[in-house]
Amino acid sequence: MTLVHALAALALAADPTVFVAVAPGYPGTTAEAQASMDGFAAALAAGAGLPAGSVRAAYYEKAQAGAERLGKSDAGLGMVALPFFLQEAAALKLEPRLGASQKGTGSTETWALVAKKGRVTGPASLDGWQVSSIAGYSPAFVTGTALAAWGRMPASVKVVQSSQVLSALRKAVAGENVAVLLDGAQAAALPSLPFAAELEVVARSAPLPTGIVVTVGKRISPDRWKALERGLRQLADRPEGAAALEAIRLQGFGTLDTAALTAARKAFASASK
Amino acid sequence: MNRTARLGWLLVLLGAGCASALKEPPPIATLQREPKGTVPASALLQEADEEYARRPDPAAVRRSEGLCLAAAQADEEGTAGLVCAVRAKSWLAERETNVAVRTDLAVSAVQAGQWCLRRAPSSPACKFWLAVSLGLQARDRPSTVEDGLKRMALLLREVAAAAPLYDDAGAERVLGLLQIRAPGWPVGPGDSEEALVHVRRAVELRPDYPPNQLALGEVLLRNDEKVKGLVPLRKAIDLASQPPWSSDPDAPGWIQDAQRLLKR
Repeated sequence: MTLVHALAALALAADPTVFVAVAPGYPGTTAEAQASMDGFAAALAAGAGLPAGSVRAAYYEKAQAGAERLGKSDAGLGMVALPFFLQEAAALKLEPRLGASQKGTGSTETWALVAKKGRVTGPASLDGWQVSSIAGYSPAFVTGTALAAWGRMPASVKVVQSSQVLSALRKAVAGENVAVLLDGAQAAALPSLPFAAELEVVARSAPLPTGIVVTVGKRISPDRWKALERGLRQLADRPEGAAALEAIRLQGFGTLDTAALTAARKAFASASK
Repeated sequence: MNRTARLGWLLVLLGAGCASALKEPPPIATLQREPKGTVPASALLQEADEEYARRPDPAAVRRSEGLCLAAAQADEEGTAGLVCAVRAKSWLAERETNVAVRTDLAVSAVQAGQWCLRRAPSSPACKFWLAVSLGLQARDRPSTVEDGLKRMALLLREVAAAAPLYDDAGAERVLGLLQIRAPGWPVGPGDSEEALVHVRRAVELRPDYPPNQLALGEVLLRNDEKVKGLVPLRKAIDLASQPPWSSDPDAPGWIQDAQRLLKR
């Protein structure tokens, strides 16, 4: 190794970078997911040509805890759900870099608004209703981004965050004034429910990015990002990387659909006004 | 007595995969640690029960496991030895901190459960303990989560229908705990409302069994019914502190679990 290479390696090894994954409402807790995240971090460091231990990773299933972790100075990059990104990108200085491809869903997903059959004919039908969603922590995503093409929802709509999707769907079937915004995986599984025949999809989103790899402010140098980007893009090509991805239900990372993201941001900004 | 199926292990399951949870099991002889000669199965089972009753001594439970497997070999048609082996392996796996050892125990418990079901395809005991061992296997083999938990739920439903009182309403209790701790639809079988139905049924069937009250308390807490949840948890402590349950080797663990939940 030449002196230049040694110095470059030392620079890349300095101060571990923490990769923060934030998927509010999804299964697992920070502690439960740590073993999988450790495997991911090790595979990413190896793929990026960085020394072992130079990348750490943590998972957060709650928006506030995830935002707090991303706010700490060692959090250099991460992967966040789109609603979280739209909600927090400005405050946390999140720079979108790559798209994450989820196992079974892909790099984009179509959200679906579901209600009891025959009860919802347009946005106005939801006057005084509750819209429940795993993304309910980001109300402007629910009423704006996901359903931008459907039309503006009445101001009386109450957006609620809930991971108890089955419970919300049962309420809808029972005739309560509840509609449910499902993510791509949930929408795909809808026909498998025993009471699916009593429900209908009343609106669908445009294809939206599933997960977004971000860097935080200028916490990681361009050289380090270059190495990490290469590592992320090639992670699925190596057996240990593929196994690490499998453990967190991902297929891999690739170029972000910037047109879809730009449209999502525009609709979010409009709904936030 | 089969009084260990508490499922203290079922946690994450974030990385659910798609490998089959059941593979062709190796011969029973390979699951056994030490040959026991020509001792009759009944004597081996009696000794295994005595060793198992010495919980929480892990060495005694390990001896029990070996004796159970020896009994399963001595009586090539019976299932008692295999049920007892899965029970002992499950108890050990639930408490083992070394991941490799724990995984071996869980996998061999599944294999013993498979043999059990081969010998008696409709046996509720075989189905119940195979279900428990599949859950244990899922903990450390994420690739078996998806298939394993589906099979687990199916087996428990069959036991709940055919032998609702087995293991003091164990099928309803374990099904409820599975549904409250596993990821929800569509990733896993988690369903907090259904969980409540199952643990309530377990309490209805066997109200005086402390783990049933413990399970009801946990499910109520996780359904945000904090005030209601305190009642069964306190009842679990009372029951576990008094005869007949106070002499059960697992009673201190039940009390500890209830106290931990009460602090939430």
